[in-house]
Amino acid sequence: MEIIRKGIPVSAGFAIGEALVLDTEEFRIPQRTVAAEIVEAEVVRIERALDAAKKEFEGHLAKLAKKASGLGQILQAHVGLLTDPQLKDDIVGAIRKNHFTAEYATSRHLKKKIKVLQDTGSPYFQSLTRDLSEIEKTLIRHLLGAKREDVSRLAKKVVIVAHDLTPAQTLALDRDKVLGMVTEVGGRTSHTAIVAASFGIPAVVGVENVTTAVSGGDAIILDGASGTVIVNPGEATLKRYQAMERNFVLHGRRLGKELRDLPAETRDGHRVEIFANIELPGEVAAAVEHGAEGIGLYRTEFLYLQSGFHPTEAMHLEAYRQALGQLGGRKLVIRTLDLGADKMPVDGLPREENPFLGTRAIRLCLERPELFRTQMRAILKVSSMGNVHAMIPMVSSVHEIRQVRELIDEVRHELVREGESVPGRVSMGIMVEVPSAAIVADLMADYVDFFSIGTNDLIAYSIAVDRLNEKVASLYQPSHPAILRLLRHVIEVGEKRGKPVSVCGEMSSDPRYTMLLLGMGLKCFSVVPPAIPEIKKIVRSLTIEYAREVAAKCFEFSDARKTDEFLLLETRKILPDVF
Amino acid sequence: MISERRVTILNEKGLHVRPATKFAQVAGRFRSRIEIVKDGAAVNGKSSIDLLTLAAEPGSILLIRAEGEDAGPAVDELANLVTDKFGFRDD
Repeated sequence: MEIIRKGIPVSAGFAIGEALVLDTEEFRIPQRTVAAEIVEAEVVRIERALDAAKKEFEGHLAKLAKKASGLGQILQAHVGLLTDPQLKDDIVGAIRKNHFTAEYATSRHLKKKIKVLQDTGSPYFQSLTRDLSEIEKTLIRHLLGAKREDVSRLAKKVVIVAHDLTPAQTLALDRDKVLGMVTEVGGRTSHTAIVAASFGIPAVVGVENVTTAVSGGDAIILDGASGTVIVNPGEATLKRYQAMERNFVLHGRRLGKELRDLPAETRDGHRVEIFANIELPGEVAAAVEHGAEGIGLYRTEFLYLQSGFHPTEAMHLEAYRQALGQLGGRKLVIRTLDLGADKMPVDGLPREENPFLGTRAIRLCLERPELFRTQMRAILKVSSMGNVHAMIPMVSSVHEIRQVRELIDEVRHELVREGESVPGRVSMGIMVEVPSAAIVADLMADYVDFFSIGTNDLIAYSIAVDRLNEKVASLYQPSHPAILRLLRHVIEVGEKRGKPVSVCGEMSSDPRYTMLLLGMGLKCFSVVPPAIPEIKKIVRSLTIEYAREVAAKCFEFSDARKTDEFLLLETRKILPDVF
Repeated sequence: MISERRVTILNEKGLHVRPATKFAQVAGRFRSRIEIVKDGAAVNGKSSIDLLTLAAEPGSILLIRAEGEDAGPAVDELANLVTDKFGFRDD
């Protein structure tokens, strides 16, 4: 039966294909049910898996010198849990009664028990869920055996369905095989959303309980523009979406081809620049193909996530060289480490109650200068090879930016002493994403070469809204008058002081805000590569006068929803196929 | 034949993985059906996982109830096990 679910659309496009349901351990949960005639075969499989798992733990135990050690006790306890007769009875019962697969019955049963422990409210008993998870993982591993699937090497094209995808998982995904992504958690600016948009993979997030609605192998349709997810579509639905997908692809290709080599210039000759935001060096080619004039935001977190948080200078250097090599003299803005202590284990830093307001990004770098030095050495080294700029995230005060300048000077002197050729002065700018930095942009201007407004965090911090919390996500409004005033202030300061200003947040990639930003005087957009043709199309369809009028009108609204309605109507005039 | 007795969990961390496993093993040696009740919730006394889900912290009171031919000795031995802190000296 056709099941229709709605979520938050985060990356436009259609995906039509087979679902691959991932659990948190990157295991594939196979089909949930089997035909009646093979139910007994499933029973045999779980009996064998229980046996094999028990033997595995006993094997580890036999190798231990001291059985009474902490590890020995844990292993003995796991053997004890696996021999629980009720465990086997319950799983076998569920297989026989519901025709579940052994994997699904096991996972479902243990997850139920884990839930009970979590609900006890006793921190000590909640911590024991680890043991049950370990049992679950081990059993599933034995059941799947060779069937276990590595998400970085998928056998066929699939639509990924998961509760959540970690940054490491999304980066490891085999991009050629992923048709689309659906997750239960996340918001418009979650990691999944950012990666999907920059890879041009259709995605919908925040679809409640979707992993229970979909089984591996089910046919699934995802509309990344409307946020619709359809499981087991009927033939008529399928045909309709297939036609829509063809149109979408044709429209995108036509627009991209038409506009790639044309400048981002209004009808009356007002020139702006459109850069791309990228996550991995491999994305440069696609960005250029879409018409990017350079890379306005090169995120470097992948280096940390892929290397166990300690990338060497050589690893940084290689990643930057690789990107630069494909840019042919175009600009490359490298953003320094933008992770928090909550995402990145750092020795000696205590757990924070409020990581969002804690030791993140430049704060972490100033706390642990060795992290920053390693990255900065690589940035300075490549800056002699091309048009390279360093960008510092999360700056909140002039004092911080002065500290950063000092550190960069030290690193530069160090390199000069080592006989490296580094330019006398490296171009350095800041992300404007903390409201304090936006408000004192005039004071910051003395110390920086450019500003790049990170609207995602700027909005979150200004409106005090956690963008991943669906309960308050609707308060997250890019066109909130407070945000527009902050943007206008920074753009005006940049204009007056001769410091280029760009917007690199999601707001910049959303064609609905292009006219507004253009009319406010923004001259530099940094966007996800697939958005470039549409943004350019809007710029080229307008006069700067018209954009200014649109912006002026937006400043009259006191309610962001009114602004959004107005902008949608205006954008629809130019891109009727999309909106 | 039905036999039952109230016991108090005395060991420091409560009825956690190792005590629960040991309790279930001992209970498993008896033919009687064995139920453990805490705050109105009853679980199979022969299931270590179900015993865990009681989240019986130190000081909690459990009712051990056995039904079957060896109910008396079962309750005796299981109650002793709890009172003896499951034979673990380090908990």
